[in-house]
Amino acid sequence: MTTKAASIRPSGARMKPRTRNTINGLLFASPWLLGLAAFWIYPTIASAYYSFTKFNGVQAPVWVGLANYIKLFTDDSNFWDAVYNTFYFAAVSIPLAIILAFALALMLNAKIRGQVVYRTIYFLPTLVPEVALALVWVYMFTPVSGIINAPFQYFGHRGPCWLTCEAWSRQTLVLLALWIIGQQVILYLAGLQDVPQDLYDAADVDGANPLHKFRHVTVPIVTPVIFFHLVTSVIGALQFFAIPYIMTGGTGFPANSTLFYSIYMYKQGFQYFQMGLASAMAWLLFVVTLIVTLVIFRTSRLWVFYSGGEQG
Amino acid sequence: MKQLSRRHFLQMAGLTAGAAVLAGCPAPVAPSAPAAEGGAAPAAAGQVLEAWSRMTELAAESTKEIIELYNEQNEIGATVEFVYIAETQGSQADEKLLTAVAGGSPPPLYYADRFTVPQFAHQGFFSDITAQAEAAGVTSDQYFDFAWNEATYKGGVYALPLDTDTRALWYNKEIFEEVGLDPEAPPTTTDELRTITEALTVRNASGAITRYGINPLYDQAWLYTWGFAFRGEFQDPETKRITFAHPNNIAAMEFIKVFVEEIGVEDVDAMLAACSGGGCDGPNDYFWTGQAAMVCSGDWKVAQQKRYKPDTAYGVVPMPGPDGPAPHASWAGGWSWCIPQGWDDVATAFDALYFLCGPVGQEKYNKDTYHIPTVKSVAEDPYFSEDPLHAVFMDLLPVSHSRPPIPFGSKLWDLQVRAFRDEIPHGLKTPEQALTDIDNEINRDLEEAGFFD
Repeated sequence: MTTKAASIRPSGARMKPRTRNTINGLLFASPWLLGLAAFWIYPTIASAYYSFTKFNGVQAPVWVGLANYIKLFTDDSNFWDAVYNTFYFAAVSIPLAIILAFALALMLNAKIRGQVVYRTIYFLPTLVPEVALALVWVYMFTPVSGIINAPFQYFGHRGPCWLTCEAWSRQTLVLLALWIIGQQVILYLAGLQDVPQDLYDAADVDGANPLHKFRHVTVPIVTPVIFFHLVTSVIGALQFFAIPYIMTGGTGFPANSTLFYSIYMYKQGFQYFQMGLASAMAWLLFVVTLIVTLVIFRTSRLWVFYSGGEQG
Repeated sequence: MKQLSRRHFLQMAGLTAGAAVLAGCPAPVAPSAPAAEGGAAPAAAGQVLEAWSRMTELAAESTKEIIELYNEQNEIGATVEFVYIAETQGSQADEKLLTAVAGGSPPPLYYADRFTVPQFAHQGFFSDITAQAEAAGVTSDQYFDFAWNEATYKGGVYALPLDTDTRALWYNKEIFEEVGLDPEAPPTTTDELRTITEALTVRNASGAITRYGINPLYDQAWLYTWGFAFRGEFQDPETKRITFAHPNNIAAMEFIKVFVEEIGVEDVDAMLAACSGGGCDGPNDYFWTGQAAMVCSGDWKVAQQKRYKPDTAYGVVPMPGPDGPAPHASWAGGWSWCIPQGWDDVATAFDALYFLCGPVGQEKYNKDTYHIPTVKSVAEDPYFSEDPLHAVFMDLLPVSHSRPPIPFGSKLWDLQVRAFRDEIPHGLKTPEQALTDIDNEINRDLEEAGFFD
């Protein structure tokens, strides 16, 4: 309506309605566009430039070509430790998170008394900020005085050493990351409720047992949710930072086993003032994340089923 | 008319948004004040100067009182405001300062761990305040040499020293008595330390330690402390190269490896894990809760003892060494105040800085917190030797070492923590390997930075 009114206004006659619409639209979007340019596009381009420089964040950058990248690949054992830990975390925690979130959603989808209460309980941990969780976990997982090992101590055993020994530290972080999957459970629940009842009815007519129905009806319909969960988890896992940083102070102890890629990048940039090296790390992370995500997207055609009839 | 309003609205909105973005952009980093401006009269009336500090508890309380005094007394009309800055645990770097300086909006005053001053100066984070110091009549001979040296870099003054501290062995006399040890005969050699530690240690049914004799990796028992106890050296006085792999440092770390194994690596780690994230700060310190009978710590614990455990009997003696008491195990650290790069009115900030770190501020701060003044005349005040525990720390000052003042202090600190708390006790590297790796990495960085030129 307004647009039409604008087009017949004499003073605006020189400008075509389409052009004016574009200008108005851009003006409306300008705060966001300015923000995007200033806080996203500029830093992205700048970091690409800095990755080829020696730069401490304050003094003028000095061009060093590929030196930062070469140093990372050939002369930095911490870098490879961080890469290993990050991929280990992603490879172990993502499948577990998918299975656990799906399983929880299946259980919470059961038509039982108190369903809403259970759903609330499983979602609650997600509401606690990660930093607060991590700090509480430090107390809970302390091997001797922590509450988690109290039952072991009661029976005269030490209990696991959790974050304090290399044998357990990575697994402990995987375990802790699984604590906050409430959000994913909700997504799976929504997916499960999308499964049409008539498909189950048809399966019943065909004599399918519950396992068949799960395998051939439920799972295919929920694959778009699994796909979404997988993609977001991969991106999240490769950027894993807050929990290990709070729990270990970013030291990487024990034996560099808790040094994750983002932590090492942060330390290089903000603690050792190697902003150029940190920028190079950021770009490597970006490229790897992009490749992994593209591979997942490509393969999704083979296993993601859209109930509208399209595949992938 | 309606359409026109909308257009005006959009124009105004666009202008406002643009103006807001521009207003939000801080001014670019200004070059440091030229030396000639040093003596210029500060134009400070009505200026509010933020003083960024990580201090908490006693130190923060005392500093706020000193700031109040300054705000009442200063003749230039400036007002200082204490601002608490959370910093990364264990690290000697400050991300917030880096971003503030890089963003062109640094605080006028910043509380810095003094041994990192050369590093921050080298990186261009701190202003050269030589001219202001000279104009105010501040001279190096007012301060202890080691403290002054740490606050300077390549001949320029970048901070004024505030306090210093020394390190010794604290022990709980009541626990000594409880296990039948003579509370007046604390360990004097490393062998005695091992025997007494075992006697003081209590384990539960699972074998886990519930009371530590001592945790040799805790509090101020660092690689430096044990290295100095074994008469090791960390920097060649001639070449200025880092020498962590000094034979005596290697011997010290071999002792630590054995000692930690005797106590139990898992138990030593468990305590360090429980204390990560500030879990053992203030009254929760294992030493104050009675979960540790001995600890290597500093003079500031005197003030804590008066606050948290005034009725418990404690003793302080020099750290034990391989052949007897090792007062030389002590190293003097301490903090300073400085003016970050990019703060324009260096003269005004220096006025407040000198109040904090000059005789007035130092006397109050060090008396309140039981640190040791770095202004020689203030340190002569008999107050600092009146308390028998603090007197031990005062006596250690002449024989205390200091850490190598190099432009990679933070990195060196991280590397030595990793070697000392992780690689050596967990057998990831031999002491010689771990220490040699530190030397190689830091000396290479120093070479690249032209430190030896």
